[in-house]
Amino acid sequence: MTSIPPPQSPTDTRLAARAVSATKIYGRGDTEVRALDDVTVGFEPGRFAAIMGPSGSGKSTLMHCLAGLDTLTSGEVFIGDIALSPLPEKALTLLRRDKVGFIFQAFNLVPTLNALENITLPLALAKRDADDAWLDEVVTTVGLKDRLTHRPNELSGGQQQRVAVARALASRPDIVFADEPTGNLDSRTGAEILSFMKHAVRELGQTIVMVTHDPVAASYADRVVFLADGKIVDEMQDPTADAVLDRLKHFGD
Amino acid sequence: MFKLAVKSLLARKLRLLLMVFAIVIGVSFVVGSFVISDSLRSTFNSLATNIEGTTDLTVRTSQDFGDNALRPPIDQSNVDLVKKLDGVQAVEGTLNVFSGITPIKANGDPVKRNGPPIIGINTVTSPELNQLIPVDGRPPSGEGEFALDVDAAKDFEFVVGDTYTVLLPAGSKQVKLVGTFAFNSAANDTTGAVLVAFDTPAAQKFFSLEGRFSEIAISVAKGADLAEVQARIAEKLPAGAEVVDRSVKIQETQDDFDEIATIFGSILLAFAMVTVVVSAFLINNTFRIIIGQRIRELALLRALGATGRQVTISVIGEALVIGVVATFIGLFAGIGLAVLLKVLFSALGFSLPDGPLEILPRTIIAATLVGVGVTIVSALLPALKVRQIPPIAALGDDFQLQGTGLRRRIIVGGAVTGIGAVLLGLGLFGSLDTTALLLTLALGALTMFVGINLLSPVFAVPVARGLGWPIARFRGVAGQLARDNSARNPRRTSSTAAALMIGVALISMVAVVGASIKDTFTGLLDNSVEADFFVRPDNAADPTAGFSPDLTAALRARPEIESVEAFRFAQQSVRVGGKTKDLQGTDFKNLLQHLNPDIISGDVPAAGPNDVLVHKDPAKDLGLQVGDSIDMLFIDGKTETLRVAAIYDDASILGNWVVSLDLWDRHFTATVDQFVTVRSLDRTDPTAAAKAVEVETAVYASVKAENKAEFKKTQQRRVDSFLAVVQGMLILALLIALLGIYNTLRLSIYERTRELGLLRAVGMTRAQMRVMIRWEAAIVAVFGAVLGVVLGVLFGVAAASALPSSFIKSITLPLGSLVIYVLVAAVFGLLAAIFPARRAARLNVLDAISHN
Repeated sequence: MTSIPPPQSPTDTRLAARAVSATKIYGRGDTEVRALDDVTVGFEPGRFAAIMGPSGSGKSTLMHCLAGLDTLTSGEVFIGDIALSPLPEKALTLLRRDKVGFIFQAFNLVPTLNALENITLPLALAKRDADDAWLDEVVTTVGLKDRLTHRPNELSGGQQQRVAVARALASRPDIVFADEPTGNLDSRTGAEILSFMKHAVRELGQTIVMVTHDPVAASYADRVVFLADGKIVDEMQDPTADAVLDRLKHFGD
Repeated sequence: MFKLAVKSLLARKLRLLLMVFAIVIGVSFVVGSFVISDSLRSTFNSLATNIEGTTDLTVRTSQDFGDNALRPPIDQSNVDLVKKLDGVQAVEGTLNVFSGITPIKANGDPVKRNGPPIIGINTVTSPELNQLIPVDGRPPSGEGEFALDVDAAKDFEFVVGDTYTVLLPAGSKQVKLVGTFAFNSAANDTTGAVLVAFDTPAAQKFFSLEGRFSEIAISVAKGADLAEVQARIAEKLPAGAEVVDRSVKIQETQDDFDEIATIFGSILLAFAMVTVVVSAFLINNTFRIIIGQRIRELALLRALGATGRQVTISVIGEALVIGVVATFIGLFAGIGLAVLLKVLFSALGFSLPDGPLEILPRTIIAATLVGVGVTIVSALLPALKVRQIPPIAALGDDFQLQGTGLRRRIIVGGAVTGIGAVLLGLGLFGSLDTTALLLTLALGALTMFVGINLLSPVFAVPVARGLGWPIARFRGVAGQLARDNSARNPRRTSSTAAALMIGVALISMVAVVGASIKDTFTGLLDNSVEADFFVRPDNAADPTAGFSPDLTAALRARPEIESVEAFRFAQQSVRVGGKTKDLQGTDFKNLLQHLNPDIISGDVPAAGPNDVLVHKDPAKDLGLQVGDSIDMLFIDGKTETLRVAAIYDDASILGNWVVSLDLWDRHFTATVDQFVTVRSLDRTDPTAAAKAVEVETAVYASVKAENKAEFKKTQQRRVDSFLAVVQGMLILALLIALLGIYNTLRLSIYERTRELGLLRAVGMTRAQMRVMIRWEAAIVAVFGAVLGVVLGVLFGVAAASALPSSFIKSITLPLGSLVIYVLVAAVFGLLAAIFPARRAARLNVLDAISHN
């Protein structure tokens, strides 16, 4: 097993997003569940990170809190140097719109809008003009040029997910969160999406944080953070699928 | 399965409540209209018996046709004739005069009630036949005194001992109020009518009925045989007179009342039916959406072994429960509505007699049929579709119920619409009797509504996109999404819109007909009326209302006035060619200087007293030419042979048959003028004549004098206020439609929870989400309103062309009003969306995304 380099300082304001002593408790008394238990972690800009862990480990909760979709019981999360917990609902919405991109597992697109309209939706909501050169680059890279006027129901699952990735990147957000982006796809289409995400990080300088339980998906990332029972238990740089699988096998040891 | 249906309903209480509410409105209107007309009928029936008092037999002129109010009076010599006969205890001549009588209040205003008439009566002396119970003062005696019924005296502040002006057929009189009385019982059973009493000689003189009575009332001696006495009287009576017993009179009164109660009940029932139909659309739509949402649940039932039939039955079971609950609530709500209406009528001055509310078994049966029946019928098609759901649908989420294919939809929808149109045409242009006509029209309209509803999904998408264009253009991406959402499910959009369509269609139709009537009248005044002033009784609602010919004579005597033309009408008062017709009387010599009825042939000024003017339609039907003779049977039983002096084209003021006033006076008793036109001597400046008219009419407080412009305005206002009442009632249908939009929107928001969550996650603000939902509703509403306006204009044009040309000559489209209806519909849509939009905006983003 390779040695683990020391984690980046979670207070470093140059991080794209970070959580400091993040704790999330569901329920009360006997039914109390600590979904996140004093988690401190940071994500560097320009890198592709994966969060892994078994079901109920808190990996989705962590991502939702980082993205401002859910609130913490205690602790703090930051996007760039903005603390999210003091923000009112509207400011959170605007922050999501302007600084964050999302890719979900399924049901990623608005069925009444065509591919291009879906991609530029966050921009349209913000009444911002698209950066045409950037948009063109994103669309070309995802290989959607000839599909832009199609509606979601005229696209395959993989194509739909590519539109979702393009949408997440179109507004050039500070960070993109992806929640099991390949969960609903076959392995070949999944690999295509992941390659593109990796490409977006390498070539376009984007920052992506992805939640997954698939070791193969995780192997596309630069770094994997392992979560179990609401705590960070390990992390791995430049992971391979085998190494991740191996690490997962020893969970609970 | 039934238990499951109930549980499924209870799990979604608000939706249940909305559907129940929609049906409750319909049912309560049905119940309310039955209860109030039954109660009216029953109270009137007992009243009809009461007001006959102790009169056993009545002698009067016989009448073969026409309204009782037109019955000619009987000569008073008949009183003495009857008096001497065996078995007759008491005989009194009685007077009941319904027109031309108006007491003037102390402040100079005329006494006026909305609806009930002012009736002039005489006091009778024999205790057996007297129905006036003194309350205050004493009975009137001589020409200087009168008495009033106690309620009128109180309501209009008449003080016993004071002297008042009373307008009478014989002219205006100053008389002292010497007493008040209650009619028939201490409760004063006048049903709101004002009774003005004089002693018999004064009454005969003032009512212009010297030597005559309306009827002769007879009380039979104790122990005498009624039938024998009746036979004895009949034997003595001259030709043209008859004697009838109490039961005949009671029956006649009841029939008159019954007609009022029936008309009243039918109008309410028509509105009830409109609300029921609109509710049916709402329920149908709701069921279809709910089933779409429950596919997985229903498929699970199928997978667990339920047959398609069982699943269908469970859905119908739900409808049954809703129908029963709504019927139950609607019954009580309807009774409440009846009570409310009664209170409302009292407030309007039409006091209905107190009586128990009549809830007949028929009312309950009708309520159940409507409430349960409509719900089940509305749920039937969606319930049958449920059988399409295969058990495998429980596993995936991509199964959708198949809608009807486009081709089939066009064929079926087109056919249904066509049948509706044919039925409407049959009703409008065929010759059906009233009941069949109304039924055909209603059925035709309903069929067309269903047909258009079937067809409308075909054009819902382009229309919704077109209507949504400005919103997409100016409200940013939220507006664009609103437009797209309104077009995404054409079936749903069109059936939500259909509920609104019905209300708007009916309102537009009424507007088109009303505007056409108004314009026809205005055009007529502008083009064919030569007179400068119009004098008419204030109470325009009463077709028998009139005023003393003294006023006409006074106007004629003024030097500033060139000529005066008096008109009299009597509905259903003559028989020509075997049919009962309305008749008008006027003076032929000056007629054309006052009116221009577009004479086709003949010479009006030269016409003699035994001539008749005929409108071209009846002239054509009977094959009449100028110079031909025609027999006319009058209501007094006499026939006159009349010569056709002229044939004219414009019947809007003259009606179809016009005779001379000389002839009129020979056959009718009503001795009042009902409409008088005045021509100024100075043809360029009518100011002096206006002054003269004003001075002469000032004495007659219940008479209105207007110049052309004022007259025009009054007539238009009358049409407007009628339109307002009808449209007010129809607003209720719009409110139900509003409920429908609300319901559909709520359900679609529930369906789209994940999508809404996604939009919020990628940065849609709450405000943007509210904009999106609100404008979606507005587009759907406007779609419905546009359909409604188009259909309403079609209905209106059809109805207007079916009406006789005396009402409508040319068709006017009230464009301004129609545009306002569409705008109001848009506002309605925005209103209906307030709560659903708020709800959508408040969705928790995370819950919404993971919503299943």
